Amino acid sequence: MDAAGEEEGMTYNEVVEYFNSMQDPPAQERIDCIIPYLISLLPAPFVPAQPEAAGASSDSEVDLFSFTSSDSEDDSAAAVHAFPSAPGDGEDHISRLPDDVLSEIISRLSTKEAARTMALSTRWRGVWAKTSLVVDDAHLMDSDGPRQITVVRAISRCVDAHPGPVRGVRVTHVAFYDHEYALRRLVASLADKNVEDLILFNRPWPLNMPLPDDILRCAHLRRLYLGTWMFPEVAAAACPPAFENLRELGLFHCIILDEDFDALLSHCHKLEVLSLVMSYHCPSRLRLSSPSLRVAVEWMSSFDEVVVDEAPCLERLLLQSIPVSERVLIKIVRALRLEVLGILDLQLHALEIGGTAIRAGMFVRSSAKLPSLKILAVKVCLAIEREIKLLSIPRASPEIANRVELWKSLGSCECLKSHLKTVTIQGFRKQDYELLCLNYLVSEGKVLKTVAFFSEDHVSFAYKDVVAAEITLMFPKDLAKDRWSFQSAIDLSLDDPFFCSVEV
Amino acid sequence: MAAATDDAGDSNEMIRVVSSDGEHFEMPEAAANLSLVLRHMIEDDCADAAGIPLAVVAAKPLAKIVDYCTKHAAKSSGLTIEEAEELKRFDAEFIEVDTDMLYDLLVAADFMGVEGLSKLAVQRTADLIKGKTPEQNRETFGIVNDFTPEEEEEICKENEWAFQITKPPSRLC
Repeated sequence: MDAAGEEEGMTYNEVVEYFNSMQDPPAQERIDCIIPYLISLLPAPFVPAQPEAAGASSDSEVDLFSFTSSDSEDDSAAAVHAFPSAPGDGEDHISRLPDDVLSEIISRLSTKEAARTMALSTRWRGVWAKTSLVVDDAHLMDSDGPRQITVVRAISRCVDAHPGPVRGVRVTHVAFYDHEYALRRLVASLADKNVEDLILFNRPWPLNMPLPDDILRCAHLRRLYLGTWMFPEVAAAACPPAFENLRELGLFHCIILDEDFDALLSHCHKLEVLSLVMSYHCPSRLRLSSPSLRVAVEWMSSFDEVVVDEAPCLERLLLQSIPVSERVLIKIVRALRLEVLGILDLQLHALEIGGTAIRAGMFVRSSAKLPSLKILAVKVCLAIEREIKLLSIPRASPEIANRVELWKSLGSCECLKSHLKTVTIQGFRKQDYELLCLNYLVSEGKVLKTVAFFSEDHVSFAYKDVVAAEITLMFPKDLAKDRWSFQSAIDLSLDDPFFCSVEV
Repeated sequence: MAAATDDAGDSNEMIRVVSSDGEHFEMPEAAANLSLVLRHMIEDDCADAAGIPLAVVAAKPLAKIVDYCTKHAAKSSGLTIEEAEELKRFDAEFIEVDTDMLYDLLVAADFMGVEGLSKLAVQRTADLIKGKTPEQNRETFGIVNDFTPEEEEEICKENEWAFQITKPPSRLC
């Protein structure tokens, strides 16, 4: 990995340095934890690898139909045992089903088993070729553990044998370092065979394994998740990326230069969901400028700046930032439809809207407001005065040390008077300063309908404690349930990625 | 949604259907609505006392389909977790059929446009194929092997990756 690092210059060295600077746990251990975590964030497999998970309809039968039956020496005996239902009339009914029904059946089989239907009869052989191909390397692993060469070869053979189109490919188990030629051929075939849905991960090391340029030719891609790659040059590329159908893009632990990322984004005209997970140092500035983007997620990356330049369709800007020493600037220039923003960490993020840096106590001009915003998630330490003031953005705030006075001094604001309807509080520990905040919200929140909170131990807060603190609390209509996760962040079907209402 | 209102209102509205072999069946309108074909017929006022004729569906599978639709229509909206579990159990038992019936259900559900049943039958078929050698699958479904031995060997050879099993090393075709 050292040799590769020298060739790739600054960026890779930075990443490696970052890894090596971590004493405990060391880089190897760390990456061994990170990769499974990254894979756990990915969309679900097309067909579950284990038969147990395949169909709820046949839970009790799973054992009967598992591979153990093929261990039997006498095939016919095994078949009778495996299928105890009344025998048929011996006619080949199933092969007379229409192609699309047989294709449906094949598409529910694992990659290997789908291909094995080719050997049933000439009819089935033709149907496999007509069924959009699904490849999952989890289906191609040997039961006695991963053998890289076999898996890589199986993936290539499978894609080569099929005329296309390729509906979906999910490769998460392969270390491509020793298979660079196979990798290049694979990506080229996938581009040629119109792959629509691709999840392609490289198992380190190195962390800067170059992703073949042919990835940019995959014009039929609708969903693309890439993990642990050095992204090819886009800005200086001879052919611009052909991602005109791409709706969902996730870059996990990928190295991509700022200008390449900007160029990439500018060629994805239909992109709706973008996620950047664990991007270390580069790009250092995430610039979002897209006519179609609806959700942007930054997950555990370390950017210096997140800039929403011109994103007329952006509904959600979601951040799960990791603490870094420098303040991270969140700069929203134009996002007329932004509805959900968070989690803003008042200790970490600095917010700038419409060219105005948001500071405590300032008068907020209309250009520095986000009128479309419906949900704001903020990580705030209520024991810190600066954060309280930032949170409330009051008209005037004289320097008062006493916290009770501080809350009193805040006065009210437009938001509390006429907009704020629901407050959900996570990590509530019933401390004095928290109760003061609650008191403030309840007494000033003229349209507040629901306050839902969790104590440290996730037990919903008891009303009587609030009463004891002499707070007149409106009874919550429904308590909320925490659901904040990467999956909920990228899920456009959810109204609220942070919490879901549940019946009391 | 339509099912819920029908249930509350004129739940007695029964739809008659006639199988290819002339047997008559009845089911609530909400149940019939689960079939795309029947729903269109009802919307076009083709449902009369004589019953809707279903030319390619025999009495045996039709009885099953009426059973399936009636059960699913009664529990179509606002399911509690228990009800959803119960429906799952019903499905699991419902699809425990022999290959002939499974074939009939695949054809009938496809023809009548009963999406839930189509998926159920397709999944059941896939589950039956899983974990078997081609020879075992031919036997299960009565599939006629029209390959010459040479052709068959060639397929296995060309797609070695799919036919290899490492534990224990055994010949599959």
